[in-house]
Amino acid sequence: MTKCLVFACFPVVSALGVLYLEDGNADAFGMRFTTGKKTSLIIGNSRAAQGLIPEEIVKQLPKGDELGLYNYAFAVGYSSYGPVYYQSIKDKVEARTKNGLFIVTVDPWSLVVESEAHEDTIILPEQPTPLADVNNQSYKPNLSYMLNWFEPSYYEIIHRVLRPANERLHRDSGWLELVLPMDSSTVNYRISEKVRQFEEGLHGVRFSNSRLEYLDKTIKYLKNHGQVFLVYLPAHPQIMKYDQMIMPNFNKSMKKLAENNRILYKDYSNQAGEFVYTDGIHLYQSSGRLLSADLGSWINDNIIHK
Amino acid sequence: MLFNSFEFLIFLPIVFMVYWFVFQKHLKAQNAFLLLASYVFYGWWDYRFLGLIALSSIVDYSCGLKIGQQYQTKGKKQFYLGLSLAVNLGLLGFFKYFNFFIESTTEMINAFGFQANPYSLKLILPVGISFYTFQTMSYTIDVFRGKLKPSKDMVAFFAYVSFFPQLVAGPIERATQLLPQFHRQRVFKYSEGMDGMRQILWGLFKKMVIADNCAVYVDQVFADPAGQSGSNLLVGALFFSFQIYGDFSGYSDIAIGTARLFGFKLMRNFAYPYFSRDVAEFWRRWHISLSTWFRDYVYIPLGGSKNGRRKTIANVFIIFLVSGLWHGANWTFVFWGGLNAIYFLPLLLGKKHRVHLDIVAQGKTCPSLKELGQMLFTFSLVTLTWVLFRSSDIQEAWVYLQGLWSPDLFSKPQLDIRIYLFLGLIVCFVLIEWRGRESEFAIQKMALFRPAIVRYGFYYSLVMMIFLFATKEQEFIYFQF
Repeated sequence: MTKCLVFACFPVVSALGVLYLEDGNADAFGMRFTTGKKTSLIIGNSRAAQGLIPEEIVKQLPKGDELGLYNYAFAVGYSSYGPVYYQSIKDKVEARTKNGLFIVTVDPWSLVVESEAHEDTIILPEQPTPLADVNNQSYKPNLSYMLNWFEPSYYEIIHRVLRPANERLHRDSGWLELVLPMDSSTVNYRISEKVRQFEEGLHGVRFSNSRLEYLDKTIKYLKNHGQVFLVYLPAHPQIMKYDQMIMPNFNKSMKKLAENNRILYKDYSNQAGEFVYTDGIHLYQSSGRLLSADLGSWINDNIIHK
Repeated sequence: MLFNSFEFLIFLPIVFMVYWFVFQKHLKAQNAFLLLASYVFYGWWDYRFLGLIALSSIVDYSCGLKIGQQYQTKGKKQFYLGLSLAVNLGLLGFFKYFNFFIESTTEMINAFGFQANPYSLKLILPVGISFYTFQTMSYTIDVFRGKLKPSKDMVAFFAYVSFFPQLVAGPIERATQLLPQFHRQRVFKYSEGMDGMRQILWGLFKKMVIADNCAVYVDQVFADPAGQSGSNLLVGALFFSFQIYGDFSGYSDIAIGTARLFGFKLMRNFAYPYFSRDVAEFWRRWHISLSTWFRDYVYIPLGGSKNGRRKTIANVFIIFLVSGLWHGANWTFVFWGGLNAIYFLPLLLGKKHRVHLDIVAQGKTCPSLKELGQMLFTFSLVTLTWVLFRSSDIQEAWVYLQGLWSPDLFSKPQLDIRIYLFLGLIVCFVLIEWRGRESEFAIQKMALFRPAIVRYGFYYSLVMMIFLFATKEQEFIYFQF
């Protein structure tokens, strides 16, 4: 019996050791649940996850390092505005924070539901995700995430230690870095693939009032903890036209939302052609750095220093 | 509930503890508890279909009793046997083959220029129905044949039909073998328990490390065979051979090992089939419980090979085609069965089908060159049949087989770099199986007589491999049959 118990200890300890090795290389989101509560957040979908680099933003702000800005944006299927993301943000924000910085990014795709979905059922797409299931913790490994939501096999952790992935989540800042070949033919192919997907997916979705209400609710909640800035992140011009098709009056609607909440709105859509994208949707990291720095400087001009 | 699920990891120890520590001295209570556990196990998937198992059990229990009554006339006995077969085959036919026959008939009518509208029902195939209906039919047939006395203990009989380790994917037990074990007092033996644990461990390794990881590449290749190079198709076919073996023999090992923990001995279902030297030997070693079921209840009653050449050929085709159809309502399975019959017939007609009855290279470390060649040739033939088995339709299988012979067969496969790792794992797996081929399962005696540190080091390696390579819970392939 003693032998069996001793034997059982070895695999358990080794397994925990393997899980500990994961540092954002093998899974795009897991590390976000190991960093505990935060005082300043970037929220939104994958445009923000890949495009906004916290360290570039805070460089532009006096005492920016003290803000502890953290990228808590995921992807459309995970973090569209709705009850699940709202609860998860509440769980992530340090309750005592009063002077945090919150960059709320938006685009029409974060406000849509499936065409056939009833307004009451908008929680469904995000329900089976870690955002709905996993609590934020300040230690790693987060066993709840690693056991239930870690997608690949655990071997991938070791594989990625030896051969780093082209997608890496920076645990400290939450930025999802992608290193991809950027030769024009590859990029054009990826953009054409995305255009095809958007063309096919366009008729399957529609704007949702409930999501807009949750965006409003999220802003109001975050305002209790600091200053909120609303930002419309750009995409490749070929993709931007689908943004227009989904919600032709998107900008107007966001401006109104910002006015109602007395926050500032920054629209990057008219500068869409100035940036480089990996696949038409996501900013390439050099452009991400430029845009982040620009955003940081705009925030610095408008932030109310307390 | 899946054997490779977290729920089963909780379920098994609880059932084990209660079974041995609470009900150890009460046979009837043990049986009743096993019945309850089995229904919970099955109901975890879909409780609505428990009614089908109960129906099958009650019909066969009652028919068995009626057939066993001395005063019944032969006609009456035949009637009750017919009733049992009709109910079981009726359930199977309705849930498994209804849509297939309707669709095939519609296509045939349309092919003759008539107009028939396609019609199908949205039916869910109850998991394990092909297994438990065959198991219960063997009971009534054996009672009818006088090989077995009917069970009067209803709880024991119900527990026999629904015994959870082998309920959903076999081995398809004979009533003569398994039912008496429910009537006997069972005693826990430490050595048997440990053996069972080892078999479960090996089964999990086969399923979670070999089968599930091969599946990743197999799915990729079979999703679009037309767009794959010959070398990709070769890797896909090779990996599927190991996927289906790892999946199904892994399930059988877990089932047999689990039954051992409860003091039951189930029949062997696989005996290293990929070390067969001809197709006849392969079929004696692959899914033994089904092959022998068809042999005993279909092939021999049809006359077997005793009524001339023509009848023998017909019987062989019947047995393989029915066996193909048993796997699923799809023409690919029928063709798969037919191809196996074509492989098997020359051996049978040339009276060479029982040449290899022993274990290959018994007592030796390596096979002879001749044996190696025979094994590789048989494995290649079998792998070709698996392409039919895995394809979603005949056209896809044809595209696949054509693509396999393209000039780029010897090019570098355009698949993820991890395939080399998994090829390495497969080689290790084959070597372990080879070393253990004289045991019931490969690791039964492996490292058993070595120092504890070596033995536990070996088990530790297996556990860690399972932990590292386990993908998301994947159903066993044979659940769909």
